[in-house]
Amino acid sequence: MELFNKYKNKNFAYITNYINNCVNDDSLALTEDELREQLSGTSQSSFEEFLLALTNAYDNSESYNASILYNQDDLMLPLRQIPIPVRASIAEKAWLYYILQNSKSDLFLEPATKQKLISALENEIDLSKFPIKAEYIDVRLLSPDNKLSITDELSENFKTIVSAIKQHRRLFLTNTTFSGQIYKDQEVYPYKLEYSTQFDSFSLSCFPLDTKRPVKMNLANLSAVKLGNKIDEYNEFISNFEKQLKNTKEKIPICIEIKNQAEAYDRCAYLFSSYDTFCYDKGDDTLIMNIYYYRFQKNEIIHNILFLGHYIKVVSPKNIVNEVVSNISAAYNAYY
Amino acid sequence: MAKTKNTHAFQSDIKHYDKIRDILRYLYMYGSSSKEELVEKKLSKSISSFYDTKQRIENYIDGEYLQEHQSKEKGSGKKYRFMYDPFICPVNYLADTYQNCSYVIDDFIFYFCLMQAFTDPNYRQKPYEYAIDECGEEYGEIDDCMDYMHEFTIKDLITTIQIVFDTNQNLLEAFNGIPGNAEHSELLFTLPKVRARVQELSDIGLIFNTSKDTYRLSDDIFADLEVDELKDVQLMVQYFYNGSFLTIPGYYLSATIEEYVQSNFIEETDSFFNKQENPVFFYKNHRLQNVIDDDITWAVLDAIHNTNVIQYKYRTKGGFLKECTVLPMKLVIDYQYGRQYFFCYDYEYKIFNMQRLSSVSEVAITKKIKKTQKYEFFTEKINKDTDLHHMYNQVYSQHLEHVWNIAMNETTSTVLIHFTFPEEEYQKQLNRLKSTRHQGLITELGDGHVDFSVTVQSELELVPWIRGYGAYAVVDFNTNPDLASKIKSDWEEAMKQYGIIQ
Repeated sequence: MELFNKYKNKNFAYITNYINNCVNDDSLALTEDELREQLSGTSQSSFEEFLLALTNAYDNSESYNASILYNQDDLMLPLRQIPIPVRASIAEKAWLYYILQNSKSDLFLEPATKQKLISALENEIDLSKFPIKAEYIDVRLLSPDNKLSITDELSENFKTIVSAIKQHRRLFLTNTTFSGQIYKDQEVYPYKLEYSTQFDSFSLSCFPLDTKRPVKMNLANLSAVKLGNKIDEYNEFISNFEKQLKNTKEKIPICIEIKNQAEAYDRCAYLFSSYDTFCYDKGDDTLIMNIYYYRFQKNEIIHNILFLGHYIKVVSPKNIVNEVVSNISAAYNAYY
Repeated sequence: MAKTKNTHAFQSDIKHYDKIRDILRYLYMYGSSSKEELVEKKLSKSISSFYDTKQRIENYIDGEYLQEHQSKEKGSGKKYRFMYDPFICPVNYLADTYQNCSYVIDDFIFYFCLMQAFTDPNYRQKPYEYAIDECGEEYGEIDDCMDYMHEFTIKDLITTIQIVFDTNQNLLEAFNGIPGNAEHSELLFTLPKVRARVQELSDIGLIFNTSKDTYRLSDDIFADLEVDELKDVQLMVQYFYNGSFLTIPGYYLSATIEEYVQSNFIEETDSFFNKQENPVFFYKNHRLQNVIDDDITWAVLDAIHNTNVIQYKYRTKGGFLKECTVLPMKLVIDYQYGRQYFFCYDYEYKIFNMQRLSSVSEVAITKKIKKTQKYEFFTEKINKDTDLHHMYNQVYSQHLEHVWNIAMNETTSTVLIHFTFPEEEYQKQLNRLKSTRHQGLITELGDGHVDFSVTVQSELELVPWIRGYGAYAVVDFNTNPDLASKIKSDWEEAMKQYGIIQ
């Protein structure tokens, strides 16, 4: 099957949702103008002939009216009062079956739920057509050590944190950092859970009430995680948190020059694809890349700059140039 | 402009994702370009076709992510780029481009007439009961429904959906005075047209092919789940599809769950479009770009599963398109750069290869390789009992033994690197070493010294990783003179570049 196919077009999804909602509750119906406006909005625009057919605006024998909706008291209602059955495609089912084999699925699903899904998928007529299997795929890990170990405690902590984020509740926890420092029974406002695919680890991004700044805590370092009360001023907290985060984003980007040699453009573009970058062609087979970054990303960027070697050169700001030059000089001297 | 361009002919260009792939990749990966630069780079045929492509992209992706700005640095034109910030983009917005495969009105009418012909046997509804008062008793009696488990032939189906469409047309005339056309249902639902569309839906898996000539609606895999369980599944799906390779099937599934919950559990919505959400997670070093190749990744996985030979166009480093015929055997995901590959047997050069997925387009299954040639690389006899996937794994393991990341070579060598970490950074750097070592052995020697040795097929592949450690890593000159010289000369080049040495 083709993954990119017309039955997954956004208009098919829209009309499915529209009909099913209207069949359930006709007060959700829209007027013809509202329907046209939503379907031809700037970011989700539909082609004109579709809108004409959908609103039965054709008046002759040449073009088809869809005859799916009709106008009643200015509202567009389904002519047939039958909901559209919603079904997952083979690609979706195959992918779901594949991720259910991943132990991290246990962090999300109760065993009974997981079993219900597995049984339903294993009874599928199309099971033999599922093309995603672990044995067909080799994920080249950065290290065999990067495998999240899902203990009962981690699983329990994960679920508590997810509940706190979803329900906008505070958390109490103990954080033992990698350097061995212990922060006991801290009260924190949770923001979100960060996942690192490369290192297979979760970190809680949160706001501890004692330090009063955004902090990241590795899930593996947390213990005694308990759910607290609701955060009353939640929206204010989120907006302050995001403001503080924004303040940690450097105003001046790291500007690098990349020579078009040995696939340096490509390697550099891939390596920095997860940063906020802005590039332009300098001419002379050289690309300029400006990397906008959060303060806590600085060391990682410097590692990446060293990683890419002499095909790239840091142009500014001065402090980053100095840091890179000092690293390069030390490395050069280590060989002499 | 939007209105004149927003026609079916304009949209229907996008039958295949190949049409927008390169320009999406360019704007996301290399950041900003002016329209002139894109034309120059052959990513757009002309300035006017650039505007067409730009408009399509704006139709597909939320405007806030495609940024337009006046460049100070070079030229005076407007530049375009996709933005990325882990906190602002917790979902993969490039995935939204997959909702735009073109269709024609006939597809749309067929699909909705078909889907509204199915009824839940446990909750049987009469489709036109509401019309009895206005249009007479006969509408209450129309029995044009098929139970979810009902098996039908294509002929049965044509009869049923013609009744559905004709009844809809009649009611439209009765309610709104819009006359129907009896010929339309005959033109829309001809045997070849219906057969082709049923085949498409059966390929996708929305309809099951139960025997040679019969079909039925596919099963509801969520039937036994309560709404809270579905919400747990939704969160899991949101987490996985954003955080792992092959995004689109999970992205579709997340939309399906949303549609399912709205329909079956009457959850209110503020938009009838499916919108991506990810309220709990965000991702470190999230690389959105691989989704652009998901249809290719899918085609390759499908070929591996069905042991098919495929043909495709491969963009070489020089930018030329080369026709390739290969047997794909393994999908390979690299976490170092975030690139995707597949391991395959190339029939032209009779070698095993690692192909970059992002260089591939126009994939198709081919039958041009004869049965006798298909497994020519395998010395043992192939018969119908041979476990081909086991054989694939054997071949792959042999070729990938001692590969550091992706690069294969004929020989192997053992590399020894001496690391020295300052006391205050020792634990941190040791952890970094442990979590990036690929394979290899770490020996702690005390006083900040750590030796690392690893046997690899390609020493050169280690070079960037070693450089990433700067002065902390020194390659042993005695055991690996070539590699040590390479690193030494790299640092020398870097020193010259900054004008520290001449």
